[in-house]
Amino acid sequence: MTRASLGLEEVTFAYHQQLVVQNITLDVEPGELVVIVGPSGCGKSTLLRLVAGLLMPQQGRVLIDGSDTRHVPPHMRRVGWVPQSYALFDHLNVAENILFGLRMQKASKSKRAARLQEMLELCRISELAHRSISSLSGGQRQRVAVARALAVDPQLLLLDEPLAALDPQLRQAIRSDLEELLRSSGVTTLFVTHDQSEALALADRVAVLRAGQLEQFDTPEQLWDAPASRFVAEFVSGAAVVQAQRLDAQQVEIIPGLVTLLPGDTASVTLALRPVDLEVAAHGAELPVVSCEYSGGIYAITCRLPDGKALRLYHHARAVIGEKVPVALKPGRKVVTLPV
Amino acid sequence: MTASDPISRIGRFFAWSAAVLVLGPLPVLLAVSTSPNWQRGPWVGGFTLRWLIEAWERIAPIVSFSVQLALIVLLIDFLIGLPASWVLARRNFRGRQLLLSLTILPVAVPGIAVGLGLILAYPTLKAGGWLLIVGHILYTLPFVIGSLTPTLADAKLREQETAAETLGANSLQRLLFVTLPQLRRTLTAAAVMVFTLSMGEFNVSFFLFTPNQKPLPVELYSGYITGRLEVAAAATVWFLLLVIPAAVLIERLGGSRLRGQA
Repeated sequence: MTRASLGLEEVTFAYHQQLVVQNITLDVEPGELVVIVGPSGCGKSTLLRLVAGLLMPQQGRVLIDGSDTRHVPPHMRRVGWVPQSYALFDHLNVAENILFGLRMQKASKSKRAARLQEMLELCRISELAHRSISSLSGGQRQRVAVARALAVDPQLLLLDEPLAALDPQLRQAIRSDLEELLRSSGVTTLFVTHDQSEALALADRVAVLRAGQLEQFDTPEQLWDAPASRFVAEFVSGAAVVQAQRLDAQQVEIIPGLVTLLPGDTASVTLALRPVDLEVAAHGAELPVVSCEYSGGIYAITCRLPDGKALRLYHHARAVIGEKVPVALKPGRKVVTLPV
Repeated sequence: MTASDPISRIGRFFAWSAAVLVLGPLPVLLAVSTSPNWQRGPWVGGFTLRWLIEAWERIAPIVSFSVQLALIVLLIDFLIGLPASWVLARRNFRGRQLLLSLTILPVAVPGIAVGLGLILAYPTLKAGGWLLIVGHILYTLPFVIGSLTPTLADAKLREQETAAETLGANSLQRLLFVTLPQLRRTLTAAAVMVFTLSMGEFNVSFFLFTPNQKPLPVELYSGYITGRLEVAAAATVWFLLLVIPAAVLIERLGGSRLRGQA
């Protein structure tokens, strides 16, 4: 399998005078699995289309393995693209779909047969080879679409929300299968999703997009522990961002009744309070509960902060909506500070 | 909704009424064309195939002309209709909506007006039979464009074409291996529709035919005006035998497409 690098250099794309992708620069290493995550309409899918050559940037360059792709049309780029709908050819069966690209390249019969076998085995769909597309389940369709894209030995694989069309119950299992398949293929992959948990679970590195701009491009651990902006903290870890006031050289007050150690000399500091850093404890700040959702063995509680913002945390017991619960930082947890 | 609820019952009654109304003339035509003398009553004096044989001998050469005309119209309709539909479906340009409305216009204008307009505009073309072809194209082309345009605009088809492009298919390969196979059902339905419309077209044909180029419906009309009622009925039976299979095919294609979308 080919492993190519991908470079985006200040890529900008506007549609009807509206900037959809703004000045994005990122480098993807050969064989890396990069997840592009962001809310709907942030330009994720447009970015994939720019890499595939289906759209042309008005500014900036897309480099595949160091070569500028400006004059390379999509059918010459060797970039596998799997859209959310999978776009399988329903007038062809599974094997014919997988072999479509090789047929277009006029590959020899023996090469096609060997590649088909390889793809069927890699994607574990050998028993589906002669099935019609309409008879497949969502997960099977996804595998066929990935097999079809990989069959032409692409330099890059672009997956646009490949799990979005699946039932929520199946998504977790199919996500693990898909990751295993992508890792074993070794292809450099850009994977688009709006689901931050999917991004953190799958990626070597995550690119967080917001309104067409790159907020942060980092490992999942760095995104979690050192978010570069308020948006990343809120979007990736579901944190509540608060302005803490300094009490002395060692301590800050996050909200009335909630104090933490944070040496420094600035009068105020911006903190991200992640649900995993908080607990219900007797010594905490009393906050009113606005919702309490059971999520299997644990309750997700949302409280209202004095400034009206929502603060989420997990607790082993149900909380009563309207009543107050004492919220504290878990012992030993370091709060996440955000750049000013 | 259950079969016994009142809305279902009323719906079923009207559906059957419509079917009886449409199919009603068929047994009468069969009775007229196989009775020795319809004025004396059905099958008085026995059952005869004489009128059917006589009618076939009379219309056989005209059937051949009508089929040729329909095939020429079909070919030209596709040559114009495919690229026109592609542009209407895929390109956003000034005047697109107006153009779409104009392509539908000939269906709304009475055939007599279309025929008369063509004769007045291009009098010299009538003798060569060209006007007859143009008249049939004007009448049938909207059905080709009307069925191809939404299919070509379909987001699913466009995404399949894009996937094919990223798999290395050039524009000709995408047309041959994705677009046309995906349009197959629509193209077949449009072809059958054009063929049957052209075969059965009377209004435009009545104004534009020449004695050497008489389409079948005009000949049927002449039969009713000038000949025996039994022969005219028998000719109509032959005509229906030609077009009913095509109509059934349209229904089957349309029906299976609807089922496929469900």
